[in-house]
Amino acid sequence: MTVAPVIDATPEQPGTPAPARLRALLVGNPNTGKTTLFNLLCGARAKTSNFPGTTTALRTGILRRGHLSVEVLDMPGIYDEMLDTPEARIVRTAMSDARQKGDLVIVIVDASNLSRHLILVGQLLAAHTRLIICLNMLDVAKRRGLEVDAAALAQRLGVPVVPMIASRGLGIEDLRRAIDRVAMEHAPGKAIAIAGGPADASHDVLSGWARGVAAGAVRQTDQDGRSAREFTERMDRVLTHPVFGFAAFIAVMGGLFWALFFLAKVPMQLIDATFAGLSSLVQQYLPAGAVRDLLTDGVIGGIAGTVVFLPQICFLFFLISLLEDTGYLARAAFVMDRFLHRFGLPGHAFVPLLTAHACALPGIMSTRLIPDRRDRLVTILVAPFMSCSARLPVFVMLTSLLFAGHPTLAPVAFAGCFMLGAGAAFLSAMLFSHTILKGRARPIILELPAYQVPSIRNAVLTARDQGLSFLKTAGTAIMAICVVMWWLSAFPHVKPPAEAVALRAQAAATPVAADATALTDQAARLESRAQQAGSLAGWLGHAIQPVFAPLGYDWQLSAGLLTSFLAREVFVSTMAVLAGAGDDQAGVISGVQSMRREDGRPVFTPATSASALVFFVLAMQCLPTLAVTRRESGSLKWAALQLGYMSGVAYVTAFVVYQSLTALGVS
Amino acid sequence: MSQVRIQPVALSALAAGRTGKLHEARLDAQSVGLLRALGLSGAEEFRLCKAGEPCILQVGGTRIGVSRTVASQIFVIPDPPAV
Repeated sequence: MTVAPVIDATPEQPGTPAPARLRALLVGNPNTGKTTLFNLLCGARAKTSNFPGTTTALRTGILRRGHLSVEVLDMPGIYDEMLDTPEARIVRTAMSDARQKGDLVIVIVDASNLSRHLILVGQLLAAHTRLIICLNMLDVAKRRGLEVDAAALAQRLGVPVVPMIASRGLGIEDLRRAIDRVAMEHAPGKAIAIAGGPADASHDVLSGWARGVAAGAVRQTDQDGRSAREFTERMDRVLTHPVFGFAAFIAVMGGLFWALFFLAKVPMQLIDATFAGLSSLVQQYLPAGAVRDLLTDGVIGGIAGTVVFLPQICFLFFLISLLEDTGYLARAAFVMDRFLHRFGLPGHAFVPLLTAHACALPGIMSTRLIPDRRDRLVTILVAPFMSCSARLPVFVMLTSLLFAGHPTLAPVAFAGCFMLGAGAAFLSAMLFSHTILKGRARPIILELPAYQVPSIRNAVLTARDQGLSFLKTAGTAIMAICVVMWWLSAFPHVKPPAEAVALRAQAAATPVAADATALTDQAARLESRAQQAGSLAGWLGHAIQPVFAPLGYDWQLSAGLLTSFLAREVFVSTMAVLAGAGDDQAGVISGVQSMRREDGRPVFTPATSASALVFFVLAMQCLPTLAVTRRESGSLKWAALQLGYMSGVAYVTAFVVYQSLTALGVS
Repeated sequence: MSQVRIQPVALSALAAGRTGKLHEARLDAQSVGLLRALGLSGAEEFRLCKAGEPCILQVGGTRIGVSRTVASQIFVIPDPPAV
């Protein structure tokens, strides 16, 4: 299918040299192909930044046309400029600003649903003059048996109308030329009067006007579009069915997570290997000392610890973008709405909560899909309760310690951890809905977009944007944390214990290389343990131990909690260092199992292990998550509440578990 | 000659396939605004594509899904059933 060239009904006007820089706002209803059009115009030159004065992230890009540079702003999708929603408020502010500055407004409308989309056009035309209409989705209109006369539409509206099929890139060059032409106009046209009324015509007046304009431009052809409609209805019946819809939901989400872990595995291994190589290189070329340790353990270790999650983040957003494009997510929201609504969560929350099982950061970032602020905040606050991949090493270690003699029980406890986290999230959502975020989740009202083939290009660009955003937010924070933790555990420098010195001497005298290496490794572990105990981190462990004493933790476990406060996965490595354990998993577990308190009792009794396991299921222990919560909620207060609430719940529950087990004689 | 006056009924009570127009939505202002922006108004005819949970309506070229809770608070004037 081809599209007709741009139709411009505006009178020819003497041109003046265009300004070197122009701003264009891309406005339209949701699901009209606005993002696709933005990507066609700006492509890889796009970046995400906050709209001035708000915390809403907008994509901006540059369109270069000869000597003209057009800054394109992808505005949030809105149905009506006058709705009382954050998105509509942003668009209203931007439109007011655009009017004063003479910015260009590009309105994208769905040709298959013209009368509804013309309402927004009418609102913009009533007050704005420099406007281009993109008549998109002509292919969908054709399938529905509709033929749209772009010339008649342009004549009636008095602005250029560009026929397009953005999903196939058709009409994009015409749009670029229309932008050039409008940019050259020095005297913009006049705002139109809707039905002879004032600029702020009521919705009913606008609606009547839109129906009239659409009736003059749209013709029903012989093809009535019945087959497309029947396909949509059949799909909707299955995908929103209480049983089949739920089965489809499980299959789709299962497939998504399988693909996520399968696709991300190799790049994650490559990243790991690259940073390990880089670390070896630094060790090889720099002399031993504080600078080398800072670079290898602090800087490279910190960056690697964050970047390793990048493939998962990118693939997750890539797959979610594909799913969103197909139109399935709107249907899935209805499947989950009935269950989530009982806990004060909206159906839209299922994607963020599911995503949080991979990592809380993208989970919280994807709450942008939720239209209501209260619902969004509740979801953000409870999402980190979902057991993320960073908790897995901790779960493995603690369940292995807890059920050392009963290996079959460890997987049950493992599954129980996931259920405890999810249960805590739902109950907390219910609590918040009755207290600080009073109210019920907004009853779900959603437009069900047409089913369509997803855009790979859109998905790639979305994944790239989200990946960069993740690196910027989490990368800087976690790297700083690692540097600080390295400093705390490296200073003051502790003299090697006599036993380690003896082992090193013995290694030097041993002729067999393998034996010498084993002795050196053993000496290194003893030195490391002594360093941890004598370092600032060790000192802090002793200092905070009284706080965790009611939970059954000694100074070593307290130090582990302290170091993992900023990133929970650090707990296992801290305990391994304190235990002087080997690098492999079995070595860590046996080493940690043999750890002793100062009075000779084991550090990890069954009661202590159970208490620590519950603590790690429920505690926040992730600074990057707090940073993302602050950014997405727009306030430090919600991040502080999240930290305080989750830490409090974790502490109290771990206390109850430890004290109950001790009272029952399990210690 | 007497004229039959059709009473408004809850959308949730309507069978799939029926058509009608909006009479009143007893919802919060934001939800009412959203439904209106999606095209559901007293001036536009809708068709109920699917009853139950969720309830799916077709208004012009727009398909709107609403939960049963929402549907029970939307009152419509149904067209007489086709004979």
